[in-house]
Amino acid sequence: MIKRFIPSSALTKQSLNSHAWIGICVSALMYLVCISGTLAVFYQEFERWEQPQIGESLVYQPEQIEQAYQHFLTKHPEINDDHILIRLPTEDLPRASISADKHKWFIESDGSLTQQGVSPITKMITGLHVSLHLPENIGMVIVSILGVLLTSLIISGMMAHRRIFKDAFNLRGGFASLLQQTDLHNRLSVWGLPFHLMIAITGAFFGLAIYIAGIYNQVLYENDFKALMADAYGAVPQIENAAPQVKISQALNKLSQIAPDTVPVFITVEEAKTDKQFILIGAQHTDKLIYSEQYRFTASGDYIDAAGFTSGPAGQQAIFSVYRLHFGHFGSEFVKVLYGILGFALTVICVSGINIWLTKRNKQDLLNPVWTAIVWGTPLSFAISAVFQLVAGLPAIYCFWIMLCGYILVACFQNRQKCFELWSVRLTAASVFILVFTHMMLNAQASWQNISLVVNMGLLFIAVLIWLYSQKLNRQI
Amino acid sequence: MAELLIAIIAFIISFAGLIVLLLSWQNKSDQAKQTMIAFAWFVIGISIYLWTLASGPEFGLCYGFISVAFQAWVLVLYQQKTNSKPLKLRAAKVLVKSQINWAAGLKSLPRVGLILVAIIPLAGFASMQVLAGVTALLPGEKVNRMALGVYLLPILWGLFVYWVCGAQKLARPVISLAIISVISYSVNYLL
Repeated sequence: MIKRFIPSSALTKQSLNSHAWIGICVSALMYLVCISGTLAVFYQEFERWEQPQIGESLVYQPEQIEQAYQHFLTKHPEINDDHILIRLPTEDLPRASISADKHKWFIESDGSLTQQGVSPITKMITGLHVSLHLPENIGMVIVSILGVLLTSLIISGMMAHRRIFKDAFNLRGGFASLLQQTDLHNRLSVWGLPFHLMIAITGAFFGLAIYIAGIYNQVLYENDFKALMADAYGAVPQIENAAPQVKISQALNKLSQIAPDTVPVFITVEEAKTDKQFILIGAQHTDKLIYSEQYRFTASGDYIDAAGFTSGPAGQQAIFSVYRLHFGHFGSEFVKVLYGILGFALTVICVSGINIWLTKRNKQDLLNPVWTAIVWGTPLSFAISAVFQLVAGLPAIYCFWIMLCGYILVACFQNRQKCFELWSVRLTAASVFILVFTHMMLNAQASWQNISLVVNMGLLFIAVLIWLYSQKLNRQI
Repeated sequence: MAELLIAIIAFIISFAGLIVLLLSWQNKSDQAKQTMIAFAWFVIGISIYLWTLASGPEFGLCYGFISVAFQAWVLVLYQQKTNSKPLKLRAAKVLVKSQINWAAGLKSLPRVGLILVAIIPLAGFASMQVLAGVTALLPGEKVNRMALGVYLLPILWGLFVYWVCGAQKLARPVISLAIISVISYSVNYLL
């Protein structure tokens, strides 16, 4: 019966050809997106690690949030954003903050704003994942197209894999052999297939949905884009003559009566400082994958309605589930760890795929050290640019690209591939150690408390693993 | 509490299903193998159903698939440690050092360029137009049809990319995609 599902050898050859073509074309960018995505799963933890001195608490008073909003308006009278965002403390980010127009402040327990929110290292990681550090309108589209190409790689990989059932549990030994690389590539990809497909599809959504929505606007909505947006994201309430004073506390108190089982995660003041302003509270329903239900209130805190995502059509819920599904921000922190491991598996699949192709060529040229430089230079550049940022406040994104390009340039002049790989691995391990050490030196006790302790221990663990891998490489040379 | 218990049972059942799959994989008899495979997948299916009972359909499906992936990887490692014969450690094969053939690379640039045009703008345009056109004909709420199109987009686009990159004669998929684009665009915008 199984034989019926095995593709013919001609189709397998064609699929392998397709798989190799796509893989080679996108390998470097795909690797950057995969490795940064693996780290981006923990972006909230990294944000907390970057500013360990900020007080954390899950408890807040509605009045404190309202005061913070007033303070924010006083501090930044120039703000002209159409919405001001207040993030409420949650389990994974137990810090209340308020932000608009690139200004972000943490909210103290008395509602005052004393510490600015700055997380350049986290932004370097998330920015690479979301838009490859390009302007968002271009970068997000490119990353989403990578999602499409990942889908294509999954399809062609499946079609190329004639022994998918025969090899289901095969992981042959040997070290760095072609067989082991192939087995590793195939076992990780076959068993992780549902996850990888989900990541590819949801990843493609972020930058491409708007383009297909443009076609639906013509085909289904007769060029009424407002109606399309209302169907997808809920109609915007029409407010006239809104009260000038925004009563956030009243809205929050009302929400606890309207939806007592929900967890409010953010508040936005829409059309802020205009006579159309209103309050929107995003509250998570613990039994739903959608990011949040949106409860809308007038500026004076009277309940208007809910956008209706929780009870809305399946399509609307599917659209709103994309974010949490892609980043694994649901369930407990344990889910994030699992997502991190699955994301790392995808990164390994990407690297081993190109390693297989390089080995099969039976020759060694410039591409070998350049690929090594990309693979090991990326985490190395992450760590070193983070150190430069922490120590000297240098812009992490620029440091990252200068480091990575410099490392690739160095690779071009390497004659001894194995030695270069070994030293790249050692340097990467050392750079992660240095990063943890720097964080400890700069933040003293705060470095070993709460989430900073977990992140630092995690980084040390990764550094040790990389070091052990370098020892293994060393034995092979 | 009941949910936790169901989740634990689901976890154990999926692991049991995978163990049966592993045993079937080790089994040489063809007849028993087929039965065991069918049974194993049935059990894994049951475990995913149990996950949905424990955590609701949305979270349950996620937990089910994730747990199967991890359990399978554990079994792959176990299998490697216990059954497989490790290949002898050999010195890595010394690869012939060579220079990149820039001339050949430059010569292939037009073909690479055509492939890139075919897999990104052309295949993208064709898949969007086809999906918008086809899902618009389906019954149901507009937002559901739109979401279906959005979710299917990477799959159809990915299939087109697979077709273009695997083709021996590039002209065939490129011309076909161009025709598909023109027809679906005409149906969506002009009719």
